Amino acid sequence: MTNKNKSIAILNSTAPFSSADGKDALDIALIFGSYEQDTSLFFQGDGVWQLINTQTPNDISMKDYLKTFAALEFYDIEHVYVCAASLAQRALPNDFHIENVTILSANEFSNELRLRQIILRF
Amino acid sequence: MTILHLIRSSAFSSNDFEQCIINIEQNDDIVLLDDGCYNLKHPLMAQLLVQQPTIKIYVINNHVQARALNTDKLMSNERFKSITMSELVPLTFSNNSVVTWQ
Repeated sequence: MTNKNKSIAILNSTAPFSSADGKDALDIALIFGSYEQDTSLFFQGDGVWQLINTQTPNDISMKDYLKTFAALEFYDIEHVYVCAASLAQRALPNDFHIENVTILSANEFSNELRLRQIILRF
Repeated sequence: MTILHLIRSSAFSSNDFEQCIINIEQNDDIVLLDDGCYNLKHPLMAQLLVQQPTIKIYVINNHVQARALNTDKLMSNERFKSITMSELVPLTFSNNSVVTWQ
């Protein structure tokens, strides 16, 4: 397959609990990771809510898929980018439930995104 | 590295188009299809035309026509180009990647 070395961006744009998009995006990232595909995660717009610390999905009877983010490093997914403008718009601190998050200005975010050959948006 | 942006939802009901605009650069291509055609009437479109003075915006002819958005005024504007679905295919090859905003 010629796709073997293609780099993949997974662009998250939705909040975690009102739809399955966030979980689907993470599942796909882990699947690509398990095939050693070069995969990076991008969070922009309401997607940044997925990374906020001390969320308790159990309180609204949701499965806590956010815990699964901790598995990213075991799948060699090392690049997680967050849009600073999206954080600022929502008055959110740089306090995330995963480590090694890179915060980029809107411009840098766009430049980083377009370096990937395949972009999947959720 | 250029991106082909496919816009499929109306900015009057979602912020997909707004997020798209944040990520646009001057050599990218934009195509309006389905409800994305309604963005022709949205203030963000005017903002985009100013922000990216060289960018061309493609619209799918029958999607715009079906929604009665193909006014003479619009189609005489050189910033907009009406295309068919089969003309969309080469655009996917002339850019490095494709993002669907919906």
